[in-house]
Amino acid sequence: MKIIAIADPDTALAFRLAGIETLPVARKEEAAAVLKQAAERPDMGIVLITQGLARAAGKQFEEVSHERHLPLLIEIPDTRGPIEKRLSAAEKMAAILRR
Amino acid sequence: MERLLIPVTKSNAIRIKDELSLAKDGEQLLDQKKDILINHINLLAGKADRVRKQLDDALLAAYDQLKRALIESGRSQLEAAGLAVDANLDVTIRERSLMGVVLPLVSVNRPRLRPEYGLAGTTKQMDEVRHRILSAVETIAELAEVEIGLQRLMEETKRTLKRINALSYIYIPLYEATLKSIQERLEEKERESLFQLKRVKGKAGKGLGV
Repeated sequence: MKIIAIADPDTALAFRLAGIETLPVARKEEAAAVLKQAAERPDMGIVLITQGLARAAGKQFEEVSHERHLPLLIEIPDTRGPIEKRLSAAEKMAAILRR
Repeated sequence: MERLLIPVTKSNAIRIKDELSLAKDGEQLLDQKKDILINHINLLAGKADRVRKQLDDALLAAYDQLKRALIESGRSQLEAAGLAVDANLDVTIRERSLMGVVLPLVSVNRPRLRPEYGLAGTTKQMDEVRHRILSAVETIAELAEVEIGLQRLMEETKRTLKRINALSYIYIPLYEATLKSIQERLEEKERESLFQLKRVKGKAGKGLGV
């Protein structure tokens, strides 16, 4: 199966230079549609998506990451660096147990 | 206390008792499942954080090189170089199941690095970007395995906790209350009929003069 990267044109360039297929997304509004399209390809193993576009894809991102076994959806930082600090695994777990 | 509105009969009492013991077994089983899930999450948690940081760092370093390459060669040349390259990565994803949660097992087959574009027209910076991204591929596979496994385990834990709560705070108390009230009413009825029986016996005895 394949790896592809959904990224803004700059970040996509880095993956393109490495020979990894990319789906460049210039406008944030297109993120959800592109992600959906990628997720529906049968040979897709891992889909990398930049944090910014993952946020922009909103519900579509949730759907792909929670309701499908494949592709595996991984967030990556883009060329502007990580947007926000992530919760560590332990912090997420604590949030679940606290409820 | 709330109770189920069902007729007060002996057979209902037996049925409720059975269901109650089933619910308690279920609660215990779910509790064990929760413990196993949490154990596994604890195993993965540290690794997930570590691999995530490793990938972020590796990518950021690659982007740094990319910026230099952009300055040096310009966008169009980079895009042209990118067109010619194909890393031929092959991802294999197998699955294993832990307590009904499907955990991915990911491996990537990366062909040996070889120059894909002509030496003319590309720069050291471009090669450096390519090299860094490709070196990060194994980390990507590892992260996919760990992070997604972890995410699925956490979702299952959430669902399991919900079920445990529903059982121990709603279902079981409701059935206990119902069982108790049915049993009390049954006993009451029994006493009543015993009393009536005694009275009838007494009357009958007098009437016959025995």
